[in-house]
Amino acid sequence: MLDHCRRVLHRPGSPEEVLRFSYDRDRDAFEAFVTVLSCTYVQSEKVRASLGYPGQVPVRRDDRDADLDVLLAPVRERGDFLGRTQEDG
Amino acid sequence: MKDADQAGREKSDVLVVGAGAAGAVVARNLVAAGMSVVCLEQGDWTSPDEFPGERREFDALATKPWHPDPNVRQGPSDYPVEVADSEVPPAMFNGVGGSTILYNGSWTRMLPADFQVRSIDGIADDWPISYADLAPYYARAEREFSIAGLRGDPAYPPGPEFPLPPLPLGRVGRRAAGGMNTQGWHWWPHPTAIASRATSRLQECVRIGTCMSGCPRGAKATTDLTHWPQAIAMGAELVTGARVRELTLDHRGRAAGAIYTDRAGASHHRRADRVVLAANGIGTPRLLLLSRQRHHPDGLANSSGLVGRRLMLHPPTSVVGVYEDPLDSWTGPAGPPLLSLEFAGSDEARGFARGGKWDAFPVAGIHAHVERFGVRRFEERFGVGFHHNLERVVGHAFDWDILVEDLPDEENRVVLSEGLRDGDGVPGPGVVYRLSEETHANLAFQRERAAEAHQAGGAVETFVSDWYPTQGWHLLGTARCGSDPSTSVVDPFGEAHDVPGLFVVDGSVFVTSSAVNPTATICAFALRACDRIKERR
Repeated sequence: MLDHCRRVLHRPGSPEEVLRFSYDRDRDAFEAFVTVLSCTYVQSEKVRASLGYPGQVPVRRDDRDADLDVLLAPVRERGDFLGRTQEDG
Repeated sequence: MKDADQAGREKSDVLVVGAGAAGAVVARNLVAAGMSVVCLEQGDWTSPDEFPGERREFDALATKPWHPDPNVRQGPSDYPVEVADSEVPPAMFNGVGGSTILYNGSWTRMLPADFQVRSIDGIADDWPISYADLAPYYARAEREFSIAGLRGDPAYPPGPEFPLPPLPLGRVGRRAAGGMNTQGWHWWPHPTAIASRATSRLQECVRIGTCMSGCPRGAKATTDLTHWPQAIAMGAELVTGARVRELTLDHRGRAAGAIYTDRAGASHHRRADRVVLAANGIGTPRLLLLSRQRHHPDGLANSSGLVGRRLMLHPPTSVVGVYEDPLDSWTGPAGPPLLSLEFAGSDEARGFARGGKWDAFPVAGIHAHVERFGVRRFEERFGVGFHHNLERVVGHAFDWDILVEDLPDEENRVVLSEGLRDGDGVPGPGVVYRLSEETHANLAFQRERAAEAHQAGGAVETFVSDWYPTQGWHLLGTARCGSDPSTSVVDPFGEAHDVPGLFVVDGSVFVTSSAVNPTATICAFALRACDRIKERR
């Protein structure tokens, strides 16, 4: 990954030119560079706030799916759709 | 207990190779039956506080030290896998708990028809055992792993209640269910090895959503939590940092033990009356091929020539749906909240045999979305276009992840690599794996239907992601079971036809791959093998 990123960083040209070249001609390097950049970028509090992303945080179990039976009613009504054999029970 | 080896250690009743799902099940059940058990594991223990899930740098850590591909991870316990001839690099984790450390906890029984592919579809082979043979063992495994689920899925024969209630569908699951109901297609809350309530060994899931880089709260049923502490308390010996390089036989040709190298480079020979291989569908054939000797010139237990052959990797694909309303799709568990088996069976009209299993999957982190952009034009991956895409998808998109049943092909195989060696100088495995035209047709069909399901659920955009196909999570078929020694490696209980006392209990024994995740079947098969070992001791 480091080698791939070096290839991108050492290429002369504007950022857009370099990235476009990598995207078109050196895709592994492009993807590696994007990975490093993206994984750093998404740690920014500002970026996260702008996306409404709270991070991977615990969530209180607020939905016990009280209406699960209602949601599943069509599936139950249809029943076996794969054609089981007698032996299967 | 019997006599002692050179280091003064006693010969054990059973030597297990690999401390993952199957190895842990075997060790705990046999030690509970009063047998002496030693397990050799090349990796180490992990601890929930090591996992990156709740850290700000989660995205970065999930791409390297906790990546499922050992060639990317390159940890001290990993061996290199030659993949130049494989369209799908295999995934695995080496350590106590094995690949359960990184699995998503999907816990699905194979369908009854999956055991009868030859009889029903006229292709591949039937298993030598039926769903009914495994049903009681499936139920036992569900109890051992505290599976959360909802009884009554019409895709299956009637079965017992799950030990724990199902996990919440969440916004992602409810949106997915809505689309499936519009289509009139099957879905069901996914049985999952993630605790919906606290148990004596597991914490209650708090939906952090990073299950596939290790659960930081100890809520996922990994065998370092569910099995090993109890097995060790009952007397099992677990040796970590022990890389097995050869299996040994006694003068009668029975399994007699294994030679391993420890972290300091010292060589040891542990002896046992029975050896149980649970080193996964790549590690197990590698060991058998490495253990060739005078009466087994092509590798141990390989008179059929099938050791390493018929590799099946469950090629996955993924269709992303983008929705206008917020789905909080970073919220777990992931562990999929629901599955569909609508297209798991065969239908001649489709032009290919067998089918696929779908999981509605949340997306942890932000970078995972970026990975899914791999299929997009440059303008959408740079500058304004990149930002626009992130704003649209983060929290608003989920995957229909699809596994398709790939059929056994003897050309798809595990071999010994000529170039790659592990840290101890032992040849690593090489994987030769090509997708058949049939599999490509299956993948294309499933993708089209999944896009329709998203659209029926209200997605404003769908696209196929090329992210998922980089990983072959399920390593199956490389020491298949069967009743005929000329066409199978082990018998219906996992004992090698050629080597009495040598058992295989991991995914290697699979005859066909089904479309569902294999851990439940691996553990059920292992439990059945345990009963056989106990009966015959």
